[in-house]
Amino acid sequence: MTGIYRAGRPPRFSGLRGWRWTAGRRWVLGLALALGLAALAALHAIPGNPATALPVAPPGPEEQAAALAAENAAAKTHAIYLALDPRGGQLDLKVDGLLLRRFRVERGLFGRPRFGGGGGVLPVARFRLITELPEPERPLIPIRSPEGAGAGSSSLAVSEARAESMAQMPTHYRLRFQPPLEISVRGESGVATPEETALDRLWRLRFRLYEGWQAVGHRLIGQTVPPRIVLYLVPEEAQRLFMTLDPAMQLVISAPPAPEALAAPAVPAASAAGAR
Amino acid sequence: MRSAPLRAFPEILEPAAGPAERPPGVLDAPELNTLLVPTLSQDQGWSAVAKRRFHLPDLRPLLGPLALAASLALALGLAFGFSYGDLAAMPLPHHETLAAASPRALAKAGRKLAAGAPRGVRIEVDTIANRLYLKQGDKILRTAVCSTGTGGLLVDPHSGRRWVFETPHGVHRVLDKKKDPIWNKPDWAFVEEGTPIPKTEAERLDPYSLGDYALYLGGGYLIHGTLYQRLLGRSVTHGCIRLGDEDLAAIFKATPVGARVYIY
Repeated sequence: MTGIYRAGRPPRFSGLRGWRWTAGRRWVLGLALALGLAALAALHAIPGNPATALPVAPPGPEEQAAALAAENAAAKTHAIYLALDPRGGQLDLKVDGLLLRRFRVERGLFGRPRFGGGGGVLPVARFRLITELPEPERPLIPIRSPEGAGAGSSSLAVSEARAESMAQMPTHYRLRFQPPLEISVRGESGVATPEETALDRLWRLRFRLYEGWQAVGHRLIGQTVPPRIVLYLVPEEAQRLFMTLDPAMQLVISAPPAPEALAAPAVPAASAAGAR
Repeated sequence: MRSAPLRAFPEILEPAAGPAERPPGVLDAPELNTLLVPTLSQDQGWSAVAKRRFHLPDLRPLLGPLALAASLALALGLAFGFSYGDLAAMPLPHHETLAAASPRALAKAGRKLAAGAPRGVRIEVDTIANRLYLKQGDKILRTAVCSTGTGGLLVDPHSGRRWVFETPHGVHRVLDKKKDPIWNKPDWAFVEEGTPIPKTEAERLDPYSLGDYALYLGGGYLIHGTLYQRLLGRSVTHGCIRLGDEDLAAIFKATPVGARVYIY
């Protein structure tokens, strides 16, 4: 056995008044914290809600009524709006009830804050975009000299500058709506068939941490924590969606009836048979 | 086992007169410093040196509370975060009144939505893909390659006036149609060309640039032809929608005045 003598051992320091940091206490506290954090991290690393694997019921009449009322109100404004169909996983650009363009949603998630907070269920089916959209970078159009090159060449240069600025549009962004709802758009490829490992989930933990702190902030100032929808689109589609957004654009949560419900006859079979 | 080396310490610290005989297995300080761990004295550590040189306060007492605060922040962030599930399982908003959810009410609401859509032909312009669609109902009657606004900014160096050449998103209508249109050139056209703005109206008229036909959308925006056919499919215009000759003729004939034009 070897004894160790340290000639210049630093003095023990105390963190809190009256508290002495002994080696044993440091170990116990460190171990407890590490175990606690590891347990919380493991909670996030395991797959989320097992109920999501179950087949989802098609929207009921009350849900369809809410969605139709919201879409009618949006169409009445004769402005372009977004319609999100959570059941079908589609995000549509619409106007006057007509489909203009469909954005393919690779994967969608719905997040509600832990510990309730009233943000779990959407209160209405129609929202208004309140995120201030940044002014796009506008290429400066050169002024030609009267005897200079033709209009085509300068327009082409500006067009190329525009194409470049389009390519630099964000692929990851967050849209805030009123009544409170947040949509987080993530332009990522290969998320349609998520083969997420525990390590991937741990890597994504950075988003979760930020969201958690935001939620704590909301609670501290007495605000309701809004529910959140995460839409994964391919990067080009995410950029395209960003370019399509208009200030104060409306979002409608649509609930179209299931295809089999549409195919079914409107009159029940028994009464149809009885009709003359 | 622990008591034997402890008993040896006083002998090392305060050696008796003459070389003391060390118990086996006990090292003295110099040997330890050179062979095992480079132990520094209290005033030789980096923090002590930094403290002396830069007059820094001793931060070591803060390490514990800081570690606690960081751990607490992590735990709060994790605990108050969101729990996520599949979007398809999202609870949908309900209508408050049951009467609105009756089959008759649903059918009526559906009819009302469909009634808002135009019955005749309509034009849809995708400004990012630079495509124009002539549609009726669910049918696409014609797809044309077009050119839309650059989104660029023109600044008059003399007056400081600014123009943004963007094709405006939203719902428009065909307000007027003209064959062999004459362009009444606005000020920006002269500013861009670097020529003085004319004083008379006659000097502004250009019978060639708009092509054979023009559909007026209001606000100075038109669907018209172009001299620069090779630039179709690119965002090169001042906000108007340019088409090739053949497509322009077909769309001019098929679209009545009052038809809706959706630009997105």
